[in-house]
Amino acid sequence: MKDQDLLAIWKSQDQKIEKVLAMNVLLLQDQMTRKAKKALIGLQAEKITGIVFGTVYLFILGAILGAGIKGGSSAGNYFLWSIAAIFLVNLKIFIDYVRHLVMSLKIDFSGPVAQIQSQLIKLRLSLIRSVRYIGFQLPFYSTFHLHGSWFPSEANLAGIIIQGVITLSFTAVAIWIFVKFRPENANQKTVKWLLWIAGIKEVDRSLEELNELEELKVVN
Amino acid sequence: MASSKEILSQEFIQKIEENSGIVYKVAHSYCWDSEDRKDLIQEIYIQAWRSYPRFNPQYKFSTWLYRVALNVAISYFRKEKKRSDQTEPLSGTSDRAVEETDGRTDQVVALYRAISDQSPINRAIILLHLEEKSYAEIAEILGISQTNVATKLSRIKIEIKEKLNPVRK
Repeated sequence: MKDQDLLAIWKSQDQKIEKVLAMNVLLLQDQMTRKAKKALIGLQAEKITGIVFGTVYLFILGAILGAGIKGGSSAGNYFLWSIAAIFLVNLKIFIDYVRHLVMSLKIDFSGPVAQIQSQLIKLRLSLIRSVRYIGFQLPFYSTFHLHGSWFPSEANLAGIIIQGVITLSFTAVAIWIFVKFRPENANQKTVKWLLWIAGIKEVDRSLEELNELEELKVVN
Repeated sequence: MASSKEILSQEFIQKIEENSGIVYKVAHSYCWDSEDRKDLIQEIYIQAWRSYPRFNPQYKFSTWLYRVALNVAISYFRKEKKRSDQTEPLSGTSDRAVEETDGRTDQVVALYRAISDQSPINRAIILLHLEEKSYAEIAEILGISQTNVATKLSRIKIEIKEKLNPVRK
């Protein structure tokens, strides 16, 4: 066999290749959407973990709340009101976790890219909105130890001032989170890390994969 | 009005379409399983698109694409090899078991089979030679010397011809 024979065999495949290559754009789309789907798995795992731990936490808070209501008056009972407030905020977070998990599972990655992007953006906005409410429980973690029988009537001035400073600081942080955590601030350093914990990172990665595909498809 | 990214992607797609045979041939030389090959082809496209902003238009696009495709294919091959070495459940089964011809002639399939018996670097050398690249171009794409290319190539050709001869009888 001569070198020319080898080259002739090699060249004989060229026509066939042209037909096969017509499929490449479709394959590319398939690959990119698969990658986008994979990027969301982290978010789903995180939400499932949150739901499991959230169920336990809500059960404990609910049990304490139930026992508190059964055992005493709610008037001047800081402990009961604090636990009730923490329970309600965590219930809202828990519902959001379930909703976000359902939203992420409902995304049909075999559908048109624009549709997937729209679903991912909705999920992203919903994640940001839900983070805004997390802070509302903070002030109540500084009040559940108080009791109406001695606070503020029998507390000394220093104690009242320290309590006030702590509770007001926590309230300020809660208000700051509520005001600051908006979609338009999502790229700010101070905001980003908390949003990442909420699962924004995975959604952004998924959107990134789809954007790359869109850029490639733009001229087709 | 088209943005700079749109212009870039337009250029990229046009060039990829003109040179798409490169990706096909590289993928077939390094991967026998059709599903894995699809993954490899897409990985090459993705890496090429990611690297495209750094492409220097002074050089030939095909040379650049060969370099990207071979780099991705060799890495992919090594990764897969490592994985199959660790997880191979049955002795005697190999990637040949799932070989698909894609309608290619027996001779072409036999040629690819002979190529796949070579080491990853040797596969790249013979592939580029069959694509009628000069020794200088092969050396530039692979980052080895022209003498090295010449020495290896003559040995690879002998081995491939020996394997193909029974088919041609």
